[in-house]
Amino acid sequence: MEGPPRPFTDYMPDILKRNMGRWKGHRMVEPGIMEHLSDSEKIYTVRAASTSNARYSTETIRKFADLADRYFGGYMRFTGAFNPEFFARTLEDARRLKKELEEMGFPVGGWGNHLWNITSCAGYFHCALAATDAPSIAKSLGDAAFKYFNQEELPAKLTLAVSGCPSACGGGFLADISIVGIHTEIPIVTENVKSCDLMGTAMICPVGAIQLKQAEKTIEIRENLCIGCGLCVGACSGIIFKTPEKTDGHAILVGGKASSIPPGTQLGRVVVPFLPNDPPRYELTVKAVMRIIETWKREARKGERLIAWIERIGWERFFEKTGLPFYQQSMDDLDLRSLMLLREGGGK
Amino acid sequence: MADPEEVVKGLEIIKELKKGPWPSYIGETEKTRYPLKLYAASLYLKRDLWTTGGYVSVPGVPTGILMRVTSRPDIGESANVVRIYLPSGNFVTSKMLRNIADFADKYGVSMVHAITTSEDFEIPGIPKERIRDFVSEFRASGMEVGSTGDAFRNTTTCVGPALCEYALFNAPKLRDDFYDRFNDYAKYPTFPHKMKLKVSGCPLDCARATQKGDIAIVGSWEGAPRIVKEKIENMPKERKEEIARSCPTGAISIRKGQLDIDGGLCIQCMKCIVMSDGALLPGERKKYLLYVGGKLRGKKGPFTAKLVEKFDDPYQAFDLIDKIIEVYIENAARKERLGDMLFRIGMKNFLHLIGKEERAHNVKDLRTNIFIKVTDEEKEKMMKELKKSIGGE
Repeated sequence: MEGPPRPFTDYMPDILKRNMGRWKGHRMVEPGIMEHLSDSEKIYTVRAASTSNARYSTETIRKFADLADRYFGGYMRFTGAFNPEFFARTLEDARRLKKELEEMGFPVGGWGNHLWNITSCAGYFHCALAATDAPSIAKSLGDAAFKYFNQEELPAKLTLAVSGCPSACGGGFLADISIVGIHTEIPIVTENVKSCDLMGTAMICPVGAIQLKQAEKTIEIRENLCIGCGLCVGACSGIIFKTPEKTDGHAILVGGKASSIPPGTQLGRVVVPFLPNDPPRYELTVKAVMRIIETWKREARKGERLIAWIERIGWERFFEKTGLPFYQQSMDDLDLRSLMLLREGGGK
Repeated sequence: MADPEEVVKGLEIIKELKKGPWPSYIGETEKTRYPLKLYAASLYLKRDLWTTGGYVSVPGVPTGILMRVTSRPDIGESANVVRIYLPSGNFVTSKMLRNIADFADKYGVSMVHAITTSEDFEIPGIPKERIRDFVSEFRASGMEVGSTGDAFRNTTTCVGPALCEYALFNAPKLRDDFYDRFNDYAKYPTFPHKMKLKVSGCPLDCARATQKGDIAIVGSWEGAPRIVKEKIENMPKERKEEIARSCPTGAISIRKGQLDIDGGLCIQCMKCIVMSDGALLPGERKKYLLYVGGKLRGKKGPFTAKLVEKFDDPYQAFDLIDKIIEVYIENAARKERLGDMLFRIGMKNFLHLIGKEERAHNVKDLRTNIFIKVTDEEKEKMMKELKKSIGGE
């Protein structure tokens, strides 16, 4: 069959098929263990932390399969936030499962007023566009914020995401606190540009900074317009960043969330515009993120997501209370709409 | 031959990343044949050592296979990444996991990317010349590759009614049916840029549809949440008061000791439902919301999706999706996401193109600038509408 394997019910345990649409409630027993109740049955789900870039050895994948076999007839699932999620019939089983997972190196936690998981893109691990190495930052954040994953409670749900570049494949912008890699230099055009699709490269530029030189079979980047987004570098191997080791870094954004609960769907806002890449442990980045989490934990009301707290107290107090400096770069001066109107001759 | 300095120093750096309580991807990677030296060197040099890739053309996979090219063949080989569809709701079986592991051992580097942000699996590290064999053998095992190129990428859904009492419709089933109808748009790269449909069963939006979906379908309802009598009766008074206080629009009051919810004020945000331990559930008059234009990447940065239409049946959205695809293909510039196109032409023009009249639910806020162009014809129509609504001839 073309497309995904379906119907999806073929890959679901019988208890879920029987109770499809008949679930009545759920509760968190402890971090990472959830109980779901229908009229007559119950099921436990056990959620583990993923590796920060969600890469596993086939050995571990087979161990997951074995766990699924032993505890629930070979069924499990993965969440959108990377967690491997297992099923159990009884709370005792769920706790045994938790123990086994933790012995394998995959702590169980998340849900409720805790850190749910950390998502990350490939970064330097497997991508050509990265301005920062997302997996190592995510790992460092995970280690630092670990107590909030399965021990200490926070005011509300907390999600963390790390993306290596503004494409935000790792979920940058989405999470309560996101790290997004940025380039701060203007890319240069090399000889190799001749092998590129020049028109395509020029068109990918969001601000019209690429000028096509059809006759010379090359392009020119207008420095005063370029915003350093890196899209052209991804599209054409003849355009490169010259000294990424000096100029690449990452920003910290806060306040992203998906749910409808006020203030509704939000994208992250830049609170720290630039931090240098400092592997393996990114001390300064981790410290700043932990400062935000700890201030929110101390100040917010119960049930108040990070952005709800910030909206209540205002940005001025956010900077006051966290002690983070306010940088002029946090102010939005990139008025894309006006740029577009200038370029395209106005609109109605 | 001895390793170059950046590899030696890099391997020292990544040793540090094996420590700590969070699961270590370095520990996992060491159990595979992934070129860890390349990665280690990139951490030491602080620069990405993969270069611009693109797609490998493979017969039978018109959208292509992701290419990954090394810039340092001396310390790590080029490799390609195959993306795999999962069943809706990301349910997997041990049989499926072992099958994928077998393929990763045989063709890849014994590594599986078990789950991407777009909720596919990936098998990295497959050499170019073996992709063709991989694809045919993998398909014979009952699985499918895809979700690449300028086509419909993987449609993600929440778990839906399979494991959640909030779901207003069978979101994972809708994904199955979507592929029955739209698979050609997922298989062949016919769009100006990639396109994503995301489906969430309720406004809590676990699939992050309104953040990531070029097109998003989200279950909702009209009026007040449903009150589960036997549960609300046992709820302590303080708890009820807490729920009433939490309502952002003040729709909940307590009358004769019971919760009284004014459906006319409810904005379906689910805050009370989440707090109620199953005593409140989404309402019965179901509505399905279709959003467009959400994305993270793209020319103009991230946008959240905008509400286009409310349906009584989620499947009514399919015909509108057909229309949106048509408008997108015809009007978008090359490599322009739907959200970017919307930004360029404006919501008003977009609605007209898909054959819809603009209505108040299409906007989050109104204009503040007063430089309005109105034709005589429009003025007359506006006055007529106003008189019809509020009277006065």
